[in-house]
Amino acid sequence: MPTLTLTAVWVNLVASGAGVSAQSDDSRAREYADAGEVRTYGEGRQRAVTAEGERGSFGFTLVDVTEDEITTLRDWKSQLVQVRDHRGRKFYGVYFSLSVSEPRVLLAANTYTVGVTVQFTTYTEGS
Amino acid sequence: MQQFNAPPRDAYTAAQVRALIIDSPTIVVGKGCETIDPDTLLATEDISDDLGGGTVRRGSYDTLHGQAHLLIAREMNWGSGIIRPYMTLSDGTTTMRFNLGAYFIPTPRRSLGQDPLTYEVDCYDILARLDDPVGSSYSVPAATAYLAAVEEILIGQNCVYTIDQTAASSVLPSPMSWPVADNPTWLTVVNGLLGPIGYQGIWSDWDGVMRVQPYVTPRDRASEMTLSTNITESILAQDPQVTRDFDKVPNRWIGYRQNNIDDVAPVDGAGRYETANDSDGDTSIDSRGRTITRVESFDVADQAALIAAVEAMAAADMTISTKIEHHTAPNPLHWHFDRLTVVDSRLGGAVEILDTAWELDLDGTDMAHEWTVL
Repeated sequence: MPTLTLTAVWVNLVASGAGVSAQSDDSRAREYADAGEVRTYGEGRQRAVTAEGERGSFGFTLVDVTEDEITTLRDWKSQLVQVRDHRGRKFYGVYFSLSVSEPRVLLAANTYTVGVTVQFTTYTEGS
Repeated sequence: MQQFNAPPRDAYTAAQVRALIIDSPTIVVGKGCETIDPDTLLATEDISDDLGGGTVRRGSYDTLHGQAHLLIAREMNWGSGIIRPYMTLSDGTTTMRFNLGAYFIPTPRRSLGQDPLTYEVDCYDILARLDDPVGSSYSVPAATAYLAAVEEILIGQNCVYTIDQTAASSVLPSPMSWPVADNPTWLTVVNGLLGPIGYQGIWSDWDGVMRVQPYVTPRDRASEMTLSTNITESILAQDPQVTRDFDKVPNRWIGYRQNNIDDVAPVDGAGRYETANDSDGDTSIDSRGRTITRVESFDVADQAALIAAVEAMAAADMTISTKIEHHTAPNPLHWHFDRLTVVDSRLGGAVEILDTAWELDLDGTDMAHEWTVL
């Protein structure tokens, strides 16, 4: 029996609830990092100093995106968005840039591939 | 330096506080800020969620010792609000908080192209409460207790304060006055009253409380913390800069009491005091091969206060010959004229120093210090 795998990603503007959704390729990746470093002190002591606050991001690539949807996503740069994916994951954050390219295999006329990296922000639902 | 385990760290021992700051192989630096009630200094709201970072600086020789430069992403009561930034340190198990003083926030600067709104705010030591001009001539009559006169001003300026009453019985032998032509500030008057009784200039502490206490020569104060390059406990960076300045550093000091109400010429032990540095350090008479004399007059309550004032002058002069600019790991205990011992072979071994200025980045960058060698 053929298996249908839904790999859609939904992007919603939190302020209005408006959304853009599209299929995504398999390059979805989360990253988490602390702003820390190991510093060298007198006589060579190695000591880690870290600024409080974990930084996280979620990168994904939307495929088969129309020009109108790209315009919408451009308008939402730097604004709080909610991102959900087919695994049931949900993130809040912002993105500051879009990477728009033409697909190697054209699925539909005049559609594009759009790369987005959402950087997580602290957000409490209902606040 | 802040007391190691004063509130809000009173649940810990001094050794535990030191271990977190010095010994822990990893630390996580957090930042926070709260608004405080100007009358009580009690916290009214924690605004840490809107604190974007910044620095806290203290120059113990500055007129207003404390400054902060903060990023605040909200509207505030800029005209009269007072804030208290703080730092937290954690080793992953234990988290301790260190208050970093109280500040007015009168100069918000906002970039109109930035959204959401974020203000860069130059914040000034709560001591600024005393830096307002008196606006008229001010005088304190003879026979008034120095500390009572100081306390009257602190109450009038709505300060939260603590006064060491060691010199409570000292009274003005003659009136003191500050003419309006000199445009005196309350700070000028307060420090003018404290000098004659051998007290140090007033300063505000980590909670914002004004402190009035006797001056103790740095060389006579116990070291408050030892910083070592020992590999197991070093928080000293690797780039100390040392500057030596021998220009006109005195090694003999003579002080006269200029408000002597007896109509006789001052003599040693009665209105005159002399001290010299014969052999202590590079600026001594022995080392330089010559005597360089500094003569000053003082408004002081008695001979003991004259001696204290001259010794303070001598101590200050003797400390300016060697300055060290250094960096350390974040240590939010630092405060006002900290007395430290630094053990560093690059500096010639154990060195007794006075921390005269420091700057602490709330994001955990190594903090900068200006030290003078005692």
